[in-house]
Amino acid sequence: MQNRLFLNYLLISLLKERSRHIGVVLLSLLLIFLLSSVLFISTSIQTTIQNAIKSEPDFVIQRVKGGLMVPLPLSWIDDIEDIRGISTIQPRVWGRYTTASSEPETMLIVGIDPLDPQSNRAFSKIMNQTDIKSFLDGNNMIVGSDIAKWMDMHYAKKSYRFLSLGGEFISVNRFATLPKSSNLISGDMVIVPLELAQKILNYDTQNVTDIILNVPNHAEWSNLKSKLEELHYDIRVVSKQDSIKAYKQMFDYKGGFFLALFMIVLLAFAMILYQRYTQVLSTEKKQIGILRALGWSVQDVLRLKMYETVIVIIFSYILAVTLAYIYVFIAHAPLLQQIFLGTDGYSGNTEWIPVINLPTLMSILLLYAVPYFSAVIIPVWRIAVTDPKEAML
Amino acid sequence: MNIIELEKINKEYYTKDGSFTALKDITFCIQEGECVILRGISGSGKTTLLSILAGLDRPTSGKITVDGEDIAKLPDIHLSHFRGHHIGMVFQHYNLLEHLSVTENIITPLIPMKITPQEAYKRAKEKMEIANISHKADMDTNRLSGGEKQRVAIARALIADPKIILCDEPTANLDRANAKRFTDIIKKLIDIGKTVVIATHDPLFWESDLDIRIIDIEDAKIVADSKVEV
Amino acid sequence: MRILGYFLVITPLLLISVLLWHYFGFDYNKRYSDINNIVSLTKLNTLSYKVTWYEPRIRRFESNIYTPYPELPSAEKLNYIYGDMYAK
Ligand SMILES: Nc1ncnc2c1ncn2[C@@H]1O[C@H](COP(=O)(O)OP(=O)(O)OP(=O)(O)O)[C@@H](O)[C@H]1O
Ligand SMILES: [Mg+2]
Repeated sequence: MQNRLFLNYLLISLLKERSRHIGVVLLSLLLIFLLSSVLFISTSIQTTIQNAIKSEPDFVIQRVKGGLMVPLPLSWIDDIEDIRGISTIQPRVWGRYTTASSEPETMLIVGIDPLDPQSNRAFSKIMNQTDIKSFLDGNNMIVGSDIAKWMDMHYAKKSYRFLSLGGEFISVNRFATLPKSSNLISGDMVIVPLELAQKILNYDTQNVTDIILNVPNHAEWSNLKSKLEELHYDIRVVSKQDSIKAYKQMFDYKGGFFLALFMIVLLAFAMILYQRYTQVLSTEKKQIGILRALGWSVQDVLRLKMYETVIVIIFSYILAVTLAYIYVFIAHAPLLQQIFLGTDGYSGNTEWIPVINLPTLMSILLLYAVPYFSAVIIPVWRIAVTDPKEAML
Repeated sequence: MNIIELEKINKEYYTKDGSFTALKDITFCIQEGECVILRGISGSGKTTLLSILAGLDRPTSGKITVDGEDIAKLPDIHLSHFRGHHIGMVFQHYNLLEHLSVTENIITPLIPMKITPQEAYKRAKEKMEIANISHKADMDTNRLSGGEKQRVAIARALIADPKIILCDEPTANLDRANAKRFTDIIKKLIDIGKTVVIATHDPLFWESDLDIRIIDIEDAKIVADSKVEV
Repeated sequence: MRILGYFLVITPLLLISVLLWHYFGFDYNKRYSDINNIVSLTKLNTLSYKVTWYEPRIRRFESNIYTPYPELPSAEKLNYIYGDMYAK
């Protein structure tokens, strides 16, 4: 094969001139790694959220005091009921409970309504056909796998004694553990019946955290929202669309965080490329002159340099993206996780569901490859077409 | 048979302060198998003439035929091909690729040619024998001595089996012992039928027992030729 | 020499194993439905709270002193909402 000698030589010159490539490669590795890690996490979260949205209620009614969320009375349900078009109204009780140990763990206490048919169905799916009645029999809880691990470590294998925010001890039996696969959403959860949640979180029986509504007719949504907002001066109505919009903005590339990161990376790339460009001009000038004097044509020189550059680009890109994948989806992105899920006090291990965002990965490749390639090939070409007499000097 | 024919070769360099004539009306022929010394003081135009012979530079006017090819008119891609196949060049500063080993340097001119790696390495071995550098075949060139570097450059010049070998000041950076070895290698090359052109002002060459023709260059012109009356 | 050699050999191997992992290492349907079941059960998508940074507000509330509110629901209403559970 006629090209074998060329490939052989290409490999040798790549290997022997690694010092020329290594700085650029390491920096690009780092940048592409960071960029694609962030991309992997945000795409994974987005996809998971989009998926979970289906099961989310259409509206959440909250009570706000001084800009902060406070419990609301069940009597609000009376007022809402009079509005037409609402298919379900349910109170929710949930809140954070931080343990009083030397390594405090923050749990999310969630009360469930055992009589709601949707909850019933989901319960038997999660608990493999177990009847909800046995769960309601006594003080039982279903815990997320991270909390289960924590409780195992803190001698609470069978039951855990909560110190309610009102100051009394409540012993709750561990009924079951949630699967690890849903950790992203359930790792820190402690699911209990609604009234038990009220006790642990020290709610009055007539107070709840918020109220959810389902409105089957989507055309009614905006209309309904304004009606709800008129009910109380301190009501906050969060529609499903509002929250969709909120995290769309959060994770869109236009969203500040990603954009800022992108700009920094672009700047760094520009710096690398400038360095590479001047390097080509100074160190490769002589080399190219020699090759030309030895009978290499402009095409031959360009071919060698092009292959060299493409190999460096492709390999460093693939390596960086692959490492980012391993870091995020296999090692569960230690460190970066905390930035994305703003929960300090919860030391859980989130398992991101792998999603590969091919279009964005490709645009990162283009953003990296095209300027890199031209920063190398243009000066090489400029040198190669000038007099090969360079070598004589 | 004439392997190199030059006819009224002129070379002008254009600089900020006008033009400078580096070669003026150079006309001579070199026969196959001849060993020609281009002799002249610094700045007389030896290197300029050699680069025109090598196809590294083009004359401003005149006709130059090398091995039957009018190289002044060749387009670049053919000129590169011509350089690779017909000319072996030994540069004053050797011009080795410092990051590569001796063998890799020597096969470099073969890369654009359609040759298998086995064939290339076999040829490199042969040429290293001729140039007396086989014992350093796998060494990196940046650790070689000056004389060794030059022998690598000679082996590289021979690799494509060119008919013509051009040397620019080959002994300028060598001590006497190494310079002597160089003339021995040149003798070998003439024995195997190469045409050799050497630009130098080192008396070693005309004091040696080589069968040479001396062309004297002064101020861009040929002033004497030991074989032909000027 | 070695480092770059490893680089050229390991990278494709790594890529292939990661691709295999990606396409065969996960039961995506189960994972998504697990998460959906949790949301259905609790009616609470904590993920959206986490990523939209609703969390700090909620926590700040908890550290506040809790004050009860005057409105009280009627007993019938409670029974209506919770049914038998409260009746027993
Ligand atoms: N690129 C150039 N532009 C302008 N002038 C040049 C250029 N190259 C060479 N010259 C001039 O042409 C003349 C001949 O140069 P050349 O290099 O051929 O001399 P030489 O005989 O090889 O000298 P030396 O023995 O010092 O190597 C010199 O005066 C030099 O200054
Ligand atoms: Mg010179």
